[in-house]
Amino acid sequence: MSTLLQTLKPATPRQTINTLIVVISVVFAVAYPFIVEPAMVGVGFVALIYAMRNFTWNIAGGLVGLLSLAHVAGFGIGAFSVAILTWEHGINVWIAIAAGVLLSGLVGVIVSLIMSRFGVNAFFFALGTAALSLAVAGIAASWSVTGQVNGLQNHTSGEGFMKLQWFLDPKPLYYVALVILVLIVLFTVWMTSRTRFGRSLPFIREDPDMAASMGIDVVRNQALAMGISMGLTAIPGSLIAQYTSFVSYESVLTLEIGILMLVGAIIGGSSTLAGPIVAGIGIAALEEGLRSFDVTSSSVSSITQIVYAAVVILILRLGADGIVPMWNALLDRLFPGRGDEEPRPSETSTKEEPAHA
Amino acid sequence: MLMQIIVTGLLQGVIYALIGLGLFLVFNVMRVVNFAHGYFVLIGMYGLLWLDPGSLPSYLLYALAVAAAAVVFGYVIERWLLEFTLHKPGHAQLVITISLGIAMQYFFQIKFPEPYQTIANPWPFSSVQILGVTVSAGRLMAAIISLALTIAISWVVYRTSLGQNIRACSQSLPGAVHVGINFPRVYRSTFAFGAGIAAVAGALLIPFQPVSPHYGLDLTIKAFILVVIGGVASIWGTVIAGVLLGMAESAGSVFISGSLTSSVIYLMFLLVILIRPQGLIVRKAAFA
Repeated sequence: MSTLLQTLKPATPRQTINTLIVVISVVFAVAYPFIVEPAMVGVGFVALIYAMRNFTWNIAGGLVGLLSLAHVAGFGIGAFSVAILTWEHGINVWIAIAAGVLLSGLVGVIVSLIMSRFGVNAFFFALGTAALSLAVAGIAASWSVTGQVNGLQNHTSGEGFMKLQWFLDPKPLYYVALVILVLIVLFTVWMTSRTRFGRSLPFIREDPDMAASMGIDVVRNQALAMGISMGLTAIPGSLIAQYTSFVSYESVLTLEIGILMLVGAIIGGSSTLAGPIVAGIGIAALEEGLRSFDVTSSSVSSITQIVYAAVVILILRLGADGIVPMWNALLDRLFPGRGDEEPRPSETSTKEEPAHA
Repeated sequence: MLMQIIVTGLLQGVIYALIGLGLFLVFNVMRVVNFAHGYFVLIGMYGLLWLDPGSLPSYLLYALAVAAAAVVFGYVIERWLLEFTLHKPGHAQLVITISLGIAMQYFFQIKFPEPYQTIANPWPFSSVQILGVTVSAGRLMAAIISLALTIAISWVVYRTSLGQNIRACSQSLPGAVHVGINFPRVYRSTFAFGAGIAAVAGALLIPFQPVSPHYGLDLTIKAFILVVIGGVASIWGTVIAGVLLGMAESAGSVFISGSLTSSVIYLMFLLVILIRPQGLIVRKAAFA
């Protein structure tokens, strides 16, 4: 955290305000389970999961510009690896999560390499990855190992950190999700600012041909980013499986989840790191707000999805970049002056932590 | 058994072809990747479910009304949501149509919470025997009307001045602009036309195909499969691909379970995208 603050030291008013927001958000996120009633902690956990999967999607989707719908397969792989390895065969849950991450990452690398090998454009990339996700869902729905249409139920007993389950109190799982989210964000910040690989990613997104002519291995870097992105997407899948103790192809492998990751990242602002997190928290807050308005629970998720879709259409229609870039532009307008000379607008708001659920 | 596969596959395939044609026109002429196309089919299905026709004349009347509504809807969508994306780089139109589809899916979910509904058979007979296979009236009539519409569409595309303009925009937009074609109008009518075709297909499907909101995404992907496999050269590629898809599905459903069938189809489709993104069936390059 301190190194992060140092990088922000030559502060414009916007950077100061955003840093302040990040610090307040982190403090709030840590204190959150103790200041709300217990039932709301689960909502916070779900918000973190939304934020995490939007964020991990964005590593490939926003940073490199790969409009992937295969990520839901990664999410499902994460959930099913826990369900199959831990619930059915009693393997340690952390090993199962690691296996899910590796398998999902491998799928990501292979998908990206195959797509690059055949030089498909963005549209065929989206369509091909969608077809892949649907195929995976169909296999999960008819394969006995994945529980077919009935899904898999968690019957394991024992709780604690090594089991990654707590039966009555969702607080520990909330903190596990929070810590993992922070680690993923810090890793991404480090990757995109300190490594040659990470810094090449926006370059590839903006102009792959130019990037290639500058000596960047576009195909390899795209594949690596896709692998990292999909691998990390398995983690929220595993966590949500541990939380709900039930996994079926309908709950974790529907293409709608993949679309929501894409839409969420774009609403928040896919060129920023904070955007997907803000959108993830926002959607969870919206769901909870609707629930308090006495809407039936099946309608709640439907309404939030419609709002989500309407917002993203509106943002694109107005030609805006998403919530966080709009927020930055607003700050720049409110505090003109030094902020005008801002050299790298997309990276200044590096990080923002879950604020509210 | 073989007759069963062929007959049901053929009947289903003709309807797929009709759905695919709407997408083919939009994709080919406007280069718009319309991920909401399957949901336009749902407009037809849910529209008739909501109106609930009791007799054949009312069924036909409502089908036309729903198609007209879809045409208006498609026009509005094109005018207000897609037109500004057409000549810009980026993925805006893809994300917009996906989001539109999702919004429609969940709208139907709220409006019609009970899944897998159909309407009563509007046709005056219930089933017939074709080559020893029993076929329900809805399925048979849907296939016959789809076939007639497919021929009508090909007539529009290849024989009328609207079709000429459509093909001109598809072949070369600068050329079309150069000879004075009002291309925004062609685009709007093409998109509206595609939406209308989709809604008609939905109206034909609803008497025998139970509808649920998830079906839209399924149909979108299937329509894309047809367009991609059929190739961009001719509408007949899409039609042939539709019949093949119908056959493959009915063959698959006999031998393996339903969801695995679609998995196999999707994986084969992925393969086609990779190996022959220009299409499998028709190889000539021009849509003429």
